[in-house]
Amino acid sequence: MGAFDEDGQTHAAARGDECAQLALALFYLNKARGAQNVMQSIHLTQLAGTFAMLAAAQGTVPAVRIYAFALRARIACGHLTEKSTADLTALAATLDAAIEGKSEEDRVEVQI
Amino acid sequence: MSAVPNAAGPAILEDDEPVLELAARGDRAAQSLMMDHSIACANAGHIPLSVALGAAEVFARMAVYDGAAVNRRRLAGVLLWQAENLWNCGYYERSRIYQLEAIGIVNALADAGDERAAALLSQYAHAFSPDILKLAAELARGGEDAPDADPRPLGAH
Repeated sequence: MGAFDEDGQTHAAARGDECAQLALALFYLNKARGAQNVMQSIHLTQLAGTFAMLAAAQGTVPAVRIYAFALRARIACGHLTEKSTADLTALAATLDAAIEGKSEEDRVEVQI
Repeated sequence: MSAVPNAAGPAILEDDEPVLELAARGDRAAQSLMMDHSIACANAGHIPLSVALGAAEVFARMAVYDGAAVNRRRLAGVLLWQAENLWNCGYYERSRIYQLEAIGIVNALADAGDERAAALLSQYAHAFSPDILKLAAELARGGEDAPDADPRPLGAH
């Protein structure tokens, strides 16, 4: 039993897999959006923020770097509010595209 | 969802950018250093505890893949700290899960002959309810019929 229910991607992230790090950031961001209370969302966004920080630090794929920084900025500003829910949904979609295609830089439409 | 106060990002953890980049690229020593830095931030109170512990947890979980017992002990420690923080914030269910995982790690180490883990478990057993210790031990062995644990906070007697 583990508290870190992310389907085994941590090992890949630990080996330096940038996409695994970003995928984990997304995973925890999505969980945070469905959080039952503020404390739960804080906890989950910290996990998301740390993985986004790792993906951004590598930055081998420009689009991934931009998305990761956008994600981190949003978390850092505490903008996980009702207002930003729609933006986060859009961000999640662009992050997904970044993970899939790794060349979706021009699809960044999220306002930080 | 309501606003998230105190959700400052882990920017302070990026002070040492070269180490962070090495950690991101899979360098075990750098990941360990980042865990140390996160724990130091948590101790110093430079950033919100939840932020520092979130980073410490991620780096501690990454560090255990080198297989060293010391890193597994350190992960257990970070998880217990996280459990206490979650409990103090009223996040009881999640706190219990963290407690169980931490105790399970220490139990597994002790069962494998790690004397330091066994000593720590013995020394601090009083801090946990007998039920949660029993449950953690069963879970560590992969048991499927484990009973519900008493979700008492750390330090409760």
